[in-house]
Amino acid sequence: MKIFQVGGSVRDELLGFKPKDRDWVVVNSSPEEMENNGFEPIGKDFPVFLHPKTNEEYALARTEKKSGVGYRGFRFYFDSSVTLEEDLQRRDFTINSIAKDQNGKIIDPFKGRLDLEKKIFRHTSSAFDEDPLRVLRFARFKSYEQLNSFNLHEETNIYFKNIAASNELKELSPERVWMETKKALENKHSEEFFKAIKKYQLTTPWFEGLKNISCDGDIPELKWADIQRVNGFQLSKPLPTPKIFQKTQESLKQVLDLIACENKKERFNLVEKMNIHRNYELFQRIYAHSSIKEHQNYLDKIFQSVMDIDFSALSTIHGSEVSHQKQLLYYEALKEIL
Amino acid sequence: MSTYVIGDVHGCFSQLLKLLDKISYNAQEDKIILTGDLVNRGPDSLAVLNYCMADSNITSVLGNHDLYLLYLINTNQAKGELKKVVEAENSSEIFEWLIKRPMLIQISDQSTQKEFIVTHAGIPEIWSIEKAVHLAEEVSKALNTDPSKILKVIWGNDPNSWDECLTDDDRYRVVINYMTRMRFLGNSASLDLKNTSTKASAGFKPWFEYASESYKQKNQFYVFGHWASLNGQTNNPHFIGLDTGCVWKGKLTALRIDDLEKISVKY
Repeated sequence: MKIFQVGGSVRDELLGFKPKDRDWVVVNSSPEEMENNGFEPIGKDFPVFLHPKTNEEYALARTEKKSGVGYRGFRFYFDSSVTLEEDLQRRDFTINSIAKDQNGKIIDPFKGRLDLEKKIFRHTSSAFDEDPLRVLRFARFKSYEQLNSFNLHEETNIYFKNIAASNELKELSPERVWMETKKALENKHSEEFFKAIKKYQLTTPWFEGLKNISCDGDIPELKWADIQRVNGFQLSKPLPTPKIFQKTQESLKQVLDLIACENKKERFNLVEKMNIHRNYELFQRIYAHSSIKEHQNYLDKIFQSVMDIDFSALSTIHGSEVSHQKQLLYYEALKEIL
Repeated sequence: MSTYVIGDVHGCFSQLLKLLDKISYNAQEDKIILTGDLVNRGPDSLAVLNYCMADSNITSVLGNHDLYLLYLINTNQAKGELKKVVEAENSSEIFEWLIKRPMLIQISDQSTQKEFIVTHAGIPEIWSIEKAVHLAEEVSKALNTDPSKILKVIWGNDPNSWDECLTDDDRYRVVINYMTRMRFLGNSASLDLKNTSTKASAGFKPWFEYASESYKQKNQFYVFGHWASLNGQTNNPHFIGLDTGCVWKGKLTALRIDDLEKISVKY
């Protein structure tokens, strides 16, 4: 067997960036041989293994053929005769189709290094449009610090247009689309992900209604809440966002509603609904968010006053009275502020 | 005249009969309290229910599986292993009997001055006995006042910890989760409801390990079921786990209150 380092880690090293994790391709081997060497199989549909010590991913060289619509309509073919070049050819962009052997020698059959220099995303082969997820992967790549100034090659753009027009994005699984989104939110230039989606008209059906773009925040959850904020909190409903993302988004909305609310009684209800004392850390983050900066003092006072409420008096009363007594405690604490 | 607490039966009717036989249960004199989860998983949930309903000296606290059965009957969903019970001729009778079972039963033994608190899963250390009794009554009252509404809203893992401010659905759900589903607790008595093993995740430990210090000197005993994988091992005589995994081919266990003797029958 022969082992090559491939993909994003080779690209990042060539760009002078320390890669997060490295992927490897194994040529001239078989699943049996991999397992005999202590590699642990993890792929359900294709032969991917974990290295017993480093835990990095090793995949047997493979080619792929399309057998239906969308990402799921894929068949992978692997056998010990698949060459490194064939494996590199099935990849998305030339800059991701570079390999490095164990002596550090670069193998670059698709001139990825030239495109790295020219800062271009160019499709590796005409099979680019066989996986519609690639256009979203491109959008995600744009959110990386080392790639955000790269541009799409005009010929590759034609594939993008075809994919956008073909409705194939609809066939992607919501989980995969969310994975790309989440990774983009973890990167420095998250807004570039959404800019690319908008620019290349990839909004249907996962980012329907994406009009404005703002991704302020120091954590992915807050960035997501911010892109929701500038789009009326109506974005990407079909995506399976985890609870903490939904909660952050909902809490930011509550704070904005509070600021905008002109009815005093309604303001009390809103603060009570926020459950600040149960979500202390979350609201601390939200109050520091750029979108409500000018209200920070006001919010801080509310925040502190609620945190100072002594709810222990509620412990001795009957459950049916708690709601009313709690309202009174909130009223006492906030009557001067709200 | 003795009082016995028996662990989770889970539809294991013949084992229940065997155990009652072994303890020489006398329906004229003795009393039986079950730790809940009478039904599901085992071979004959319906027979267990019919047997217990017919004997006024047998009662039970509510377990999570019992609540699930109540929900299925209430929404008329005949599915899974409880299908036979939901479709039973006397299912409404079963519903009426089961929903009146309390969340918590307190037993005071006059002769030994000992006090036993029976719940399905346990009581978190943050609640005094009085508090737990109040909350259990609150939930039972709500369940019996508007069963259709309450049985719909008690499912789920949120909120994950007690808070005096909780009202309505959240309040009932969290009390029920403590009393019928609790195993591990973390900071501020937060529930880890996903872990059903005996090995705690980081930051969590078994609920009775929090409570153990404060109750050592008192004559109080917490009796519970629910946690089959514990197999009764709490390493503290004040916390008596009675689910010894009968339905998993383990044992069905009874505790005699008078002398704290445990009597078991094999599956």
